[in-house]
Amino acid sequence: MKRENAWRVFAGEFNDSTVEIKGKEEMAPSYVITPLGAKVNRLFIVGVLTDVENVSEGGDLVRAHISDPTGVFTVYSGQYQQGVTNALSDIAVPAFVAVVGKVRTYSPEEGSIYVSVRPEKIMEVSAEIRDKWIIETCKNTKDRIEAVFEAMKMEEKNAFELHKLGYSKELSEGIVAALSNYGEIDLNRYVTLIQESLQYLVPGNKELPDLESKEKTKNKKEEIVEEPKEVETEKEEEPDDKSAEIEDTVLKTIKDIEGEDGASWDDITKKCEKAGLNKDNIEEALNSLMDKGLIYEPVLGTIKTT
Amino acid sequence: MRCPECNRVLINEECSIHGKVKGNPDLRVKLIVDDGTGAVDSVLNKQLSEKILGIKLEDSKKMSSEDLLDEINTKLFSRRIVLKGNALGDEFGTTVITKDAELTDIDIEKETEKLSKEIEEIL
Repeated sequence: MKRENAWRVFAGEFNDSTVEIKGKEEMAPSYVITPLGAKVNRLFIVGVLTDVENVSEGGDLVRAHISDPTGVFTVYSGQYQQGVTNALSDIAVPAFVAVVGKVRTYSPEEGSIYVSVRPEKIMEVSAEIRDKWIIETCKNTKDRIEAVFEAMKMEEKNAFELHKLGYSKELSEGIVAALSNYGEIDLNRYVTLIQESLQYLVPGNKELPDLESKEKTKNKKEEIVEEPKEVETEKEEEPDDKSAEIEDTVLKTIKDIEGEDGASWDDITKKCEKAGLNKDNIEEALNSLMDKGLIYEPVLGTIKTT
Repeated sequence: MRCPECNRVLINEECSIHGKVKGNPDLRVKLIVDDGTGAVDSVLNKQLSEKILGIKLEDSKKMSSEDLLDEINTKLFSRRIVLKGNALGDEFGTTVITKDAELTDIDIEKETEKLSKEIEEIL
């Protein structure tokens, strides 16, 4: 039995997946087919671990989220991965982590599936390794886009012909499955995905939900690069100042009222309205804070500071 | 731990040929390398293990086996590595009989630039 490849896939592509190939025989592996034809059973991801929470009474099952430039991976680890489960509980969020894991799917009803990852191994890593993973994943994603493009040109789409063009057997099969299941594949979306991810690697542009201390040292190096940007934004300084003020107020409010599990969206809005802010401004501030990675939404409707 | 007579790995402090012996310690790293298109596995001998880990066998003896494993994982997991050697294929996949191993790096800035250009060409 051959070892399953650890695919490098962005969360943006992975979470779009709605096709699963179930192994028919006993012990046959199952795969998730992404819109770009990656036939994923095992995958390798590096991103920011944003939260870990217990979802079972005995503490046997934990759920965690790992965000990359394009989206968020959901990770479940249970009693059969005790090592990982313990490691997840021990890592202080937010932190860069690398994970090798297997695909899991959950299908509440016919036609909709949720994909998640069951980790086999997790390690805290450096920002540098994260950046390298982004590059590698960009490359792999680009290769898949090209392969899908080639396949679309073919009159009769079969894996054998694709394989002859030099694409791997797995990818060729995946693409054929993707083409017949997803219909029109929006390649541009994934090109944009890559471009956005690459933006994170351009110096002076690192605004991922990062570790604050690391950000500070990075920012120092990037001061020179950032200067011209400041000039540009000066014209809009007034509204900027205001929204920064609002954000401050909102952030403070959240910090005031959040407990172990964060604060509910409604409570935050109520409290902020009392402080003289209007609903739109509050929502805008919450979104902006989320983009900056200062807060996140562990459960829908609940906000927590990082 | 290995048998001082025949160099076999000891199981439960016993050599399958020579019985209970006082073993010689050894340091080897077993690894799986996956580049997204496929995976190979390999075992590094003492010399290469020491080189890749930057730990001498002597020093590793002082560490507990958990600590040593931790150290190996921190140093190697998710890193890029180049293996040179002969490949051996069997029903479980490919094994590389490694003659030389080296951790490598990529230039993030250069790669980013190159990829950005390539992406523009696609559009």
